[in-house]
Amino acid sequence: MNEPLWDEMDVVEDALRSWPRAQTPRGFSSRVLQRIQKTPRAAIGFRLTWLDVALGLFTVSIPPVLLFIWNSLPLTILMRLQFEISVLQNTPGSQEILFLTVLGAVALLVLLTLAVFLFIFPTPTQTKNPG
Amino acid sequence: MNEQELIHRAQRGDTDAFADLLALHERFVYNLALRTVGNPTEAEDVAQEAFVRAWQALPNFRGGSALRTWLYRIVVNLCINRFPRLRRELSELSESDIDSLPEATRLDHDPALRIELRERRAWLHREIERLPEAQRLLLTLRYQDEFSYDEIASLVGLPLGTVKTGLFRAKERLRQALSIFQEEPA
Repeated sequence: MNEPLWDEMDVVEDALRSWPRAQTPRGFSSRVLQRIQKTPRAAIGFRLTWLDVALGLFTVSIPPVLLFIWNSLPLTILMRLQFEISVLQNTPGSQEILFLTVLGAVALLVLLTLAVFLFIFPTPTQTKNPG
Repeated sequence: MNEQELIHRAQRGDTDAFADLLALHERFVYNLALRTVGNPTEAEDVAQEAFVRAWQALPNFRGGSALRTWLYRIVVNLCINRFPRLRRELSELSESDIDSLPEATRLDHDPALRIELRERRAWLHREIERLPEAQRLLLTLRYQDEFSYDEIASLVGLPLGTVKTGLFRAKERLRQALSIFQEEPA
């Protein structure tokens, strides 16, 4: 009993695909263009979203927070940290480790910057152009 | 000049470039509006408003989707905002279990069937016009503009299953109308 049903569905789909498109009303384009001549638009430019503001505030707050934490550390922990740093500085090859760490940080920063640029200016993805 | 260049120029305020974009897309935008609202005057109003809004928002268009998809989204939102019935109809399209929808198969191009097919088509085209707005919108996006189910779901803001169900019900309604046509004496 299913066969006649799908035959009918074929006819329905054929009608849907052949549903004729109407012509655009005469003078449509000129009416739209007249309207846009009178319509103010936002210029391309700098635009801040809440996320930009939040990220900016977060970034700006990092140094004072670190400074505050450093100053608030108990003396014993502070001395321990200073001791660890001095040990690290006196370890053979510490300069190389430091250099590699800085290099890694710079590479990470470059990658992050690229990712941010790709996010802000995405490559246009050409989805199928209908019709 | 390709569409991408036209978009870049229109984003910088070039109205000639926007006029070219308008010429490329106006028929599609107008037809989507017409199919959805069913009234030529209101459809023109919606289509005009869609292009005006597109002009205003074009500087923020990042090219993440095709321009036509972006324009269609504006049209759908305008229709939903202007016609509360459409919003209600869309929200009433509930999801139900449909395991798989058959894809369209080509009809046998038997010349004897063509005349009959033409009559049936004309009948069905009239029946399509009588469908609820939400179903007409889904059918237009699927069969006229050949969007995928996923793209339609994204455009109208409905779950994928609801879109499939909505389309199935619309086609089922047309199939029933076709049965009536076939039962009528010639």
